[in-house]
This record gives sequence, structure tokens and C-alpha cells, in this order.
Amino acid sequence: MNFNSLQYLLFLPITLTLYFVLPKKIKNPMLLVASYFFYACWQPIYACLMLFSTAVTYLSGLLISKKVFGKRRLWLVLCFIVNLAILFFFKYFNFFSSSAAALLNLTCFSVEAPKLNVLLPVGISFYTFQALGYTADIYRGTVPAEKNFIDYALFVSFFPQLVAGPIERTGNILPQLKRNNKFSFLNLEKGTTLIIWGFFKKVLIADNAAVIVNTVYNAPKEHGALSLIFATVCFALQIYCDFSAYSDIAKGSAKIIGIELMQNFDCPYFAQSIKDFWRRWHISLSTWFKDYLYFPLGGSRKGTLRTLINLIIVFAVSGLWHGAALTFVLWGLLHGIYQVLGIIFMPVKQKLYSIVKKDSPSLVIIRTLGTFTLVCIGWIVFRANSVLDLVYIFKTIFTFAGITDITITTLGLSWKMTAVLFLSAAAMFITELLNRDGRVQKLISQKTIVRYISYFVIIVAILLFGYYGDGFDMQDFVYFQF
Amino acid sequence: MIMKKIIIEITALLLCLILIFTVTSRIGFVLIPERHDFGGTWNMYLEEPKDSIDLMFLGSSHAYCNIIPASIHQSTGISSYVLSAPCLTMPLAYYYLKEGLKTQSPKVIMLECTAFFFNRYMGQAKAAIGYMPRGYNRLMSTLSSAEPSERLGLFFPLYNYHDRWDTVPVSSFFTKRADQNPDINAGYTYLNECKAQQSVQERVFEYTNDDLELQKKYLKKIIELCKKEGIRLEIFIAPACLQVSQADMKILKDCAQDTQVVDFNDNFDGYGFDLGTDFYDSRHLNFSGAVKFTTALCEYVKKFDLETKQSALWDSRVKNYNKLLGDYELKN
Repeated sequence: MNFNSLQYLLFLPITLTLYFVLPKKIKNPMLLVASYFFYACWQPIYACLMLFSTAVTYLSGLLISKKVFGKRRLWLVLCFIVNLAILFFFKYFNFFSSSAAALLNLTCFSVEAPKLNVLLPVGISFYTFQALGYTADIYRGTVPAEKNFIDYALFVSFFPQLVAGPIERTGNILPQLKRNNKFSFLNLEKGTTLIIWGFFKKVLIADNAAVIVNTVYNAPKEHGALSLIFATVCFALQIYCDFSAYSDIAKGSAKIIGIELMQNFDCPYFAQSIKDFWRRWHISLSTWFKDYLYFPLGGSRKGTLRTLINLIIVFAVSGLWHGAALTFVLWGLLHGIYQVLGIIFMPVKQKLYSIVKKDSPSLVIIRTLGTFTLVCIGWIVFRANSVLDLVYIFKTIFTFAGITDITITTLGLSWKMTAVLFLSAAAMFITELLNRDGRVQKLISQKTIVRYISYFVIIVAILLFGYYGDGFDMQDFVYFQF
Repeated sequence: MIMKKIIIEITALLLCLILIFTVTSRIGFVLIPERHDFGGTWNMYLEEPKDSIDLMFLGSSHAYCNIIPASIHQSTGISSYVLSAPCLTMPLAYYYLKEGLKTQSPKVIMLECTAFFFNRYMGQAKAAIGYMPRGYNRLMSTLSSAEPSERLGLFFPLYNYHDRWDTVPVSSFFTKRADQNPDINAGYTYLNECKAQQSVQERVFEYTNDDLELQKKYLKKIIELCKKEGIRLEIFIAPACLQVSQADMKILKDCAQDTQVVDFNDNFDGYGFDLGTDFYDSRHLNFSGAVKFTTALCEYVKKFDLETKQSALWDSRVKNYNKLLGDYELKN
């Protein structure tokens, strides 16, 4: 079931009503059934896979905490092997088999890659990482093992964040799920605002931007440098609005129940360095990798060289997490290299700051634009349909081929719609920037008239300019494929 | 204090919803493409002077392609109108009639019933229902005759037409639509193209039993409604090269019971049709054929003894008809 579907607009109020009218004992079992129903709407059979993964991690948690056979690490390793094997089988087998075959073919062996004809279970990377984080936390002793299977299964499958995150931590969610959440008008208002805001970003901005992106990136050879640059900026808009919209709707849906999900984005395109970008982009995944991969690898405690290697490893794995394709690995590696270069050139940067004031507006603008440009170069790698396309796009952009060859109206949207798209994006960025300290949310909460005027304007804008309706292909959320 | 807050919130929410509904309805109305012919022309129908129509033709394309009210007026002085829609099945015809009777009080209704043999869903819901005034009849038309996948767009027109916002000037939000004027053809659709026909054949319909039962149910409702309103109802089949079979006619007549059912194909040779020039396709007449059939129809409707009416609107319609006639003869 998609958030941007009519089914969800029915499913959510029904689930919420049931949640608040049922006695405490039945609340979580009901939410669990609702979450499995939500998931089974895509692929019923894969709900069993999620149940299996849940059972394995639940059992591992108990075995680790009770040190069965005097072992803790054994159960942790076994749990990781089983879950990562499932992930590998469904997500990475074909990629690794075709890559290995391609390598062997280069060395005079003629090998045909075995291929599995299986669908990728929606959200498998998200719930697998969330469940693995739980077992790692128990191993470290930061949280106790959960004894109630229903509560634990709900922690893994909680519908708002099930298929595209945020990847939650045990310590944040489980206690919230266990308490008796009661209806609160404030939660309803805050949650509704987040949901409407999410729809605005998804239906109006992301899906309209996707039209331009798909037109250009699905046929890059038909476009010049300027079109490719324009489409890349549109992709930056699309992926941010798409993914953060999912997080907003997820946070909003959970908020109405009374559960606070973690913040997943914090105005990432206003970051002033790549390091800063990763503190603001997909925060739940970045912190997951930091806690469960970067630190175990040694983090920055084992010297500069090891730190740099660790960074490259973490970002390469992060790229691979996004998808089983060379472009995703390259994207991860590119961000790893950005970070490494950031550390190497730190002394130069420090020297510069001793000359120019770090917080001077001009430097802030230059740093922000520079970071955005580097991020966009990364998005080219991320979005290109193949490595060959990627090479072509880079070649075209960096040689300025066909630089004057752009007609906005041939990129899939009328010029008026393109203008609306960018005006909406500007309004969205300004609002989110102003809301970093929560002032917009506060204003909306305190002033009833402001709230309802905002709702009215946003809903009418979505209904008039949104990408939906007869003749439109409802776009899935981009991160569903991960 | 809490109660006061709840009341304020509920009031604000309701106002917000009403405002959203009002504004989006207005926008939706403006963004729907103009419709001037081929039936479903409700905006034009609603511009007819109240209670000015004495003879109403109700039906599908077999009505709006074949009957020229201006010709009838010229010959008889009767004010008639073709209230129609593409594939107007009986459920749709029933709700069309109910809606149509809100502004007109015809003495006679002639229901063209070829669509009695159509399937429930004919893929024409957007045109047939999309222009109906909002209300119970539109709602029921949607539920009875629109495929489930089309219903959302009919309940909420912005769903179908919101992407037209950049093709419509802002001024149209504050002015009358071009199709909010009386129809110069009074519901008739002018077709000047011609497809030569080789012969007259029996038309094979592929209705299911369920579809037929639904059609029968609504035909009976139409008959009852006309009785209740004191309107004389006649059922007829318009002439075509693909003709309703005798077996199907029997089904129709059985359902109509004591209501008059006329198959104008019975006198097909009497209208002077030229198979080479008078047909738009095997099912519909073109302008030339419609002129011939309507001439015959004029004689038929004289039996209703309807009063003659004159008005500037009808004068312009007759004038327009004669112009079409002149142009057509000149062209051919």
C-alpha cells in the first residue's frame, strides 16, 4: 500500500480509530495486524519473509541476553549471517553473479551468470537493518532483550516506517510502543500537518520533477549539457522531496498515534560541507552505519590512514545498501572520496578560515553552493541508468557539449508547470529552513487561522498542480526499491 | 476551555473543507473542456428558457445524429430538443430525464432505445456524466453507469482535468464558459462526412443477461416516471443500416408493455435514403440523412397536437439550419 494512495487515506483513519478505542492489551496486536496488512498489500508472500526475519532476530536477542551455551558473539554472528544471507539472496545475488561472470569473461573464461527470478521484497533493507541494529544493541548491552514477541514484531514492522524508514533504534521506539498512547489533539494536529506537508513534497514537487528527470536520464544521448545539468538539479529536488516526503508522512502517521520517529532530514541542501551533508541526509541510515559499521571498524581511533580506509568502506557499503548496481557503489565511493579529501585538505581549510571569516555570508553561500554541486555530481552517478550512460553524461557536461541546446518545454513539462515546480520548491526550502528551530510548526500550532489557511493553500495547490489523476502514472516512492 | 478549543477547531476544519470543496469545484468546472455537441451538453441545455420545450427526444448518438429540432420547428412550429449522450443506456436515460425535468416540462418524450441493447459500461461515462449538474442524479448516474475506475474522476472532476490549468486563461475563472449558451442546434450534432453503405443488415448486440435486466429495470422506471409526471412517452428506434433484429425488438416491446414502440426502420425505404450519400457510418445518419429522416418525423410528431411557439432563439435556430442546408447542398 502506497502512502500516496486512496487505500492509505482509508487505512490510516481506520487503524488510528481502532487503536484509540481498543483497550491497551489489544492495541499492539491490532497495530501488528494492521502493519502486516499494510505490507501484504504489495506482496503477501514476503510478509512471511519479514516474519521469519523477525523471529530470527527475536530469538537471537533472547539467546544473546541469556548467553545460551555461554556464547553471545556466536548468536550475534549467526543472526547477522542469516539476515544478511536473505538480503543477499533477494537483493544482491544477481548483481554479484553477473559481475563475477563479467570478470571471468574478461579472463578468457566463458561463463554464463546464473540468475534468480525473484522480486525484491519491498523495504527489505530497511527492516533488516532495523532488526540487526536491535541484536547489536543487545550484544552491546545498551538495551535489554524484548520478551514480548508481539511488541518486538511490531517494532520491526511498524507500518509508518516499515518500507522506507526512518531506520529506528530499539531504545527510541520499543518503549513508545509499549506505553499506553492516548489520543491527543496536539498529536493529531502536528501529525496531520506533517502528512499534508509530505504530500505537497511528493505529489507536487517530486513527481513533477521526475517527469523532467525521466525524460532526460532515460535518453541522455538526445540531450545537451545544459539539459543534463537542469535534469540533475531536478533529480536533486526529486530525490529529496520524494524521500523526505515519505519520512514526513511516516513521522506524521506515527505522531498521531503518539509515537515520535527520529528526524531523517535536516535541510541537507543547505549543508556547507559533505560531512555536514551526511549529518543532514538520511540521518537514520548515516547514524546506523556510524554506530554499527564505522565504530566497530575502529572509527577514527586507529590513526588517519585507517580512518580514511574506514570512511571509504562505510560509504561503499552505504552505496551498495541503496541498490545492487555498480552506479550505487560508485556513488557511495564518490562520497567516501569526498570525505577523505575533506580530511586531507582540512589544514588548507583551517588556514583559509584564518584569513576569511568562516561565518561570512559570502563564504557560507560559496560553501553551500559548492557542497550542492558536489552532491549533484554524486546524484548523476546515482541516477544514471548504466555506467555507459554515466560516462556519456559526464563527458557531455564537462565538455559543455550542446550547452545551448535546451528547450524547457521539450523536457516533459510546460514552462508554466516548470515555473510552478520551482516556485513550490523555493517555498518548501524557505519553510523548512525557517522551521529548523520549530518556529513554523509553533506558529501553525498556536494560530488556528494560520494552520487552516496553510492547509487550504497546500491542499488546493496539490489538487491543482499535483502529479496524479487520470492519465498520470502514480509514482512509487524512489526509496521503495532499496 | 477545552470544549471551546474543540468547537473552534471543528468549526475551522469544517470551514476549511467547505472552502476547499467550493474552490476546487469551481476550478474543476472551469477546467472541464467545453462541450458543444455529441451529447452530454448539459451546460447548453440548462441555458434553454425554462419550460420552453414541449417535445423532448432522449437517447444516445442515434438521437443526436439523426434528429434536427430546427427542421421540426420550421415544419411544425413545435419546440423540441435532443437531450442525449453517447451510449445513453437506460439507467443514464432515467437520471438524465429526472435531471432534465428540473428545468423543462415537456408534454411528450420520445425515447430512442437502441442503447437498450448496450452493455452497462460503454466507456463513455466521462462524456455522458461529466457535464451533468452536481447532485443526486449525477451521483446515481456515476454509480449505475460509470466503470469503477472512472468514478473518482466523476465525483471529483479535478482528478481528470487538473493538468489543464495551464491551458486555460485566468479570466475564465470569472466569466461564463463558451458552452453556457443555448445550443443553436438544440441538441442535434451536425455531421457532414459521408461513408457509403453497401446494404442493410441486422445488428448483433453482445449484451449479457445482467446488463439486459438492468436496462429493463430502468426502462420501466422511465415509463413510471413519465406516467407520474403526466408526460406522454413513446419509444422508438432510429433508422440505421445496422438494424435491431426482430428478436431484440420483441424483448424491447415486451418490456415496454403498453407504451408505444416504433421501429422507424420498418419504413426504411420510405425516407428516400441514398446508401451512398446519407450515412455517416453504418449506425448513424449524416446531415443529409438526418434531414430526410427528420422530414418524415415531422409528419409523425404532428399527431401529438403540440402548440407552436415562436421566439428569437428558434428563429436563429431555423436560420442556422437553413444555412447548414444551403452549405451542404452547395458542397455536394
